[in-house]
Amino acid sequence: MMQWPQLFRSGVRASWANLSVELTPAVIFASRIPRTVLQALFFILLAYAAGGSELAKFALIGNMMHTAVFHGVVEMSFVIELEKYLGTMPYLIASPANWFPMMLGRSLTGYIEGLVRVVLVLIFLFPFFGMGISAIDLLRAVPLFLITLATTSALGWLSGAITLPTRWGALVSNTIGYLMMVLCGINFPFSVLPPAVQWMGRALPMTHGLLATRAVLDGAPYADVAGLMAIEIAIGLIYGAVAWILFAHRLNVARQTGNIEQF
Amino acid sequence: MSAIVIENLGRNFVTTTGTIRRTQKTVTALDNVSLTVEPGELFGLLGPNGAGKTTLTRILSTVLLPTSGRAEVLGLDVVRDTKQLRPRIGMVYGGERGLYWRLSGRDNIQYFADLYLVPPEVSRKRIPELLELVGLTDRAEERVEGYSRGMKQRLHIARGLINDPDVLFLDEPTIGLDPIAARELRTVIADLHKAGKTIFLTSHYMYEVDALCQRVAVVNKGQIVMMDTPAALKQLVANLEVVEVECLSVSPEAMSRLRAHPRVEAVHVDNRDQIQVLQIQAPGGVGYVPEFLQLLDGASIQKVVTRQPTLEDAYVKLLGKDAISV
Repeated sequence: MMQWPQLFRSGVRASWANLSVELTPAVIFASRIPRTVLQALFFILLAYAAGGSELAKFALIGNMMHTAVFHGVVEMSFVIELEKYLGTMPYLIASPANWFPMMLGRSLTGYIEGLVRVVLVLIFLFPFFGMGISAIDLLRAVPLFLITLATTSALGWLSGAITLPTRWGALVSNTIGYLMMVLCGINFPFSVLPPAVQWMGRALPMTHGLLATRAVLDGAPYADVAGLMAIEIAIGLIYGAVAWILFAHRLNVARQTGNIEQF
Repeated sequence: MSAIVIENLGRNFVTTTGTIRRTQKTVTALDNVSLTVEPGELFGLLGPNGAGKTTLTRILSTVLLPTSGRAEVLGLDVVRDTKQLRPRIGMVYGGERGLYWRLSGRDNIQYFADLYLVPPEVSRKRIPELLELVGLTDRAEERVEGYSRGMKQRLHIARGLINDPDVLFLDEPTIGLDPIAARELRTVIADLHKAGKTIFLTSHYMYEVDALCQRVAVVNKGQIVMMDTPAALKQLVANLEVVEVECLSVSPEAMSRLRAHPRVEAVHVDNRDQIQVLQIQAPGGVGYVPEFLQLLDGASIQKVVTRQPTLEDAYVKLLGKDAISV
């Protein structure tokens, strides 16, 4: 545990170096900004056409959170995929450190990028579709937002652990990201889903966090959403624990089968 | 206490073929391997591709589990005692992979220093020393993606030494390098040995093992065929002479005739571009050159030379036709 800060810092440094090469001004202005804003705009306009400004506001909040969450889930899985691609996995396995904090650091810039995307959605779309949301409520929602982002990262880890010995990491994490779009109440109220599907949505991280965030943005006090956030955190912890156990198991199996470098 | 002790080590891999009708097949990569390496020794493991060299290195460096037998490094079991063992060993696997291409050379080593829990005050001093050792000081701040293959391999060595390991595993470290880069890397390995490191080197380059190693084990199809000093291995072919024939278009029939000659002990074929180089091992071979050439009737002979046998010839003799895959 003593070395965790050192390992975390090292992961952040590596992650930042990686991102700084990838994110050139051309990439930011020609791809990242338009893609983020246009994707959110697409769903918001769809919601506007279906249910007017109230549903558009609903979709705005949902997409704001999903933008960051989706990126976080994929990033976690991507970090693991990258290790396999670069052939660094055997060195990680054979290192004496617990490399969980390093991996956490490695995915941190992914989260920061996700948050930047949220800010972009806010800047470009909030003035048009965020009617009735006060700046104070927006600030009050930030902690809930960050907690939800952290809980969904556990899902990203689980996805990475499941696909560790396979070549499907990107495929599975993307599918999970889109599944969340359907199941977590992002573009339409959770209640319109069939009961069985609602049950699936309730078992995923983000669903309760998003409900709590919406309530706070509508002016509800923290006390009213404490229950929802407790469930959100509990779900995140469960996913995190399962991911941790599965990851350790996968690595042990990989030492037996020798297939850790396949990708 | 020996640095490495391996007793009856075995390792099987299960491979699967087919999509709908999946068939499983068990491949034996290591079969009852036993050997010891003494502290400070530079030990070579020589063998063709697929002989089991990498599998053995990975087991010893705790990345892979054996199927049977046991192995100890520095008195620690490679299966049970990984926590104590890992900080004390270093490993370098061949090839260009295993580095973070978007990080600089220095950042790569720093990253692994952190992973190996090297205290910051130690790594601050050691990283420049290692960069100096492998001749990368001037290029340390550049991203690895711009490095040549030789530079990447040297960086691998520096990375493998970051925790100042007692035992260093080098798995075909010069593979794919140009002759100059390979020679530079061999110099680094020799210097590490002089500095007292125990080195376990795998290679399929005979001259590399001959130049560097104190003892060598020849491994083929997962089994150790012979283990001794390079000089003793060469004694296997001390009574032989080697006739090297560079030629074009040698027919399989001509090769069979040549192999059937009563004086010929082994023939190794080395394909270099479109030219085939036949290395014919025969006692008193010089006196039989005209007969050999006659047996190669129909082939276009470019050049014929005779020479004294090397470790490579001993290797060819030991492995027979399996040596062709080298």
